Amino acid sequence: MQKLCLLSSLLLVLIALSSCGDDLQEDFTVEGLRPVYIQPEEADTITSLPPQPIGQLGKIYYKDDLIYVGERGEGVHIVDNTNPFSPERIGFIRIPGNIDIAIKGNYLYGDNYRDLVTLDITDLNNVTEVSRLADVYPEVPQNYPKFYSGYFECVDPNLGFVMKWEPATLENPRCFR
Amino acid sequence: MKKILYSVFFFSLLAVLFVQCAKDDLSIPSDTGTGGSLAAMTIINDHLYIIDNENIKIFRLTNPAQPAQIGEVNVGFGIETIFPYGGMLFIGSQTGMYIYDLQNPASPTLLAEHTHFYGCDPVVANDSIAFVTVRSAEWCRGTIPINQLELVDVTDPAQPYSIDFVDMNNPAGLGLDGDYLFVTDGAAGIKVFDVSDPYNEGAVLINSIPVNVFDVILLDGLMIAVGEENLYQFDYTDINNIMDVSTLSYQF
Repeated sequence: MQKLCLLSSLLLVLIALSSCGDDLQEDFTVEGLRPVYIQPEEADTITSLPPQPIGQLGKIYYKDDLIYVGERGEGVHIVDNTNPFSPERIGFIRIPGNIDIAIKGNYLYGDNYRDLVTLDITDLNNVTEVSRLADVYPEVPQNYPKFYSGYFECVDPNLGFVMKWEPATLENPRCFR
Repeated sequence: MKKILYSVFFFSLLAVLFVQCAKDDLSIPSDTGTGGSLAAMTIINDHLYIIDNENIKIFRLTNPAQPAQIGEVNVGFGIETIFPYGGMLFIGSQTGMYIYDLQNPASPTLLAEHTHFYGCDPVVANDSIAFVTVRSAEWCRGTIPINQLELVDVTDPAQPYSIDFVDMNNPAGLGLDGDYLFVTDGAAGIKVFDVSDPYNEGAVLINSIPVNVFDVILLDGLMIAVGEENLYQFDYTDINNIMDVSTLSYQF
């Protein structure tokens, strides 16, 4: 009986200590990633835009004096490189979720989340979608950033679709992997 | 005398025209463009090859407005980059490099798999050597801290074998132009190697460019290099004296 009592008091102390630990946990800020959301109806809309600010650049592609510079998860900056000493941003093709492109003739192929889209780029100011193959790419995990370990802001599916992850200073992030 | 002057003028004009035409011939726009070494899709003639996490998907571009999928090959987990060279596809994965033969463009066949440690790894190649970067940065979920440039003999692409390793900082994209190899090495800059005698000398570091970038495209003397926030260009016509050409950045 005495033993049992000792054990239960020990257990109580342990519980008290562990919950104390939780209460004592201080606020912390840490560098990590946070999701950038897009509304589902916008996710497959391709748009030609004027030059956009550079955020986080991705892959590059070159054809006929033009450099196509990926803006991770958002689309492609078009840079006129006729004079490499003064390259000029002339436009932006918004392709939500985009990472990769390739071009043949006047057609640009790119990933748009799980789909492969074909765009007619004859007129760079008015790029048009000419075809779309659905679900060429596998499903991307929506609730955590792929190939990443560290803190990140938890995903709230009510806010939309995760378009991309961006570096951010996080306060008390609850998600980690 | 006048006649001679006229003919001199006439012939010089002709010469100028010839040179101009030859130049124009060289700059005829090609049908497809050039990607960096981190590309995960590539076009060869009438076929588009796309890699997802574990497959090569093959699309016919006979009607380029309407790609049609004609095949799919399972490669293995964690494939990330695709580099076409000499009728082959060099696929970089988190566990190694795969070489596929494209004799039948619609159906790539596996020639060899060259595995190594866990890490990210794009590939470039010439007739004898494939250059692979292996890094275990956070994005690559590397388990062992290994950052290296690996030289793999691919003279017989069915039997690749390592011939040299070079320690790196945080290598990512790379580009090959003749005897020169450019490797982006994170904060350590772009490293320039002489790879003219890989079997005896390995990759010999001869120069470096202090910019933090992750991929390059080489255009016969002009290098386009991309970092998180900047697009740099360099003239490497003189490899010992690489010149700044331009920088495009957020502030531009």
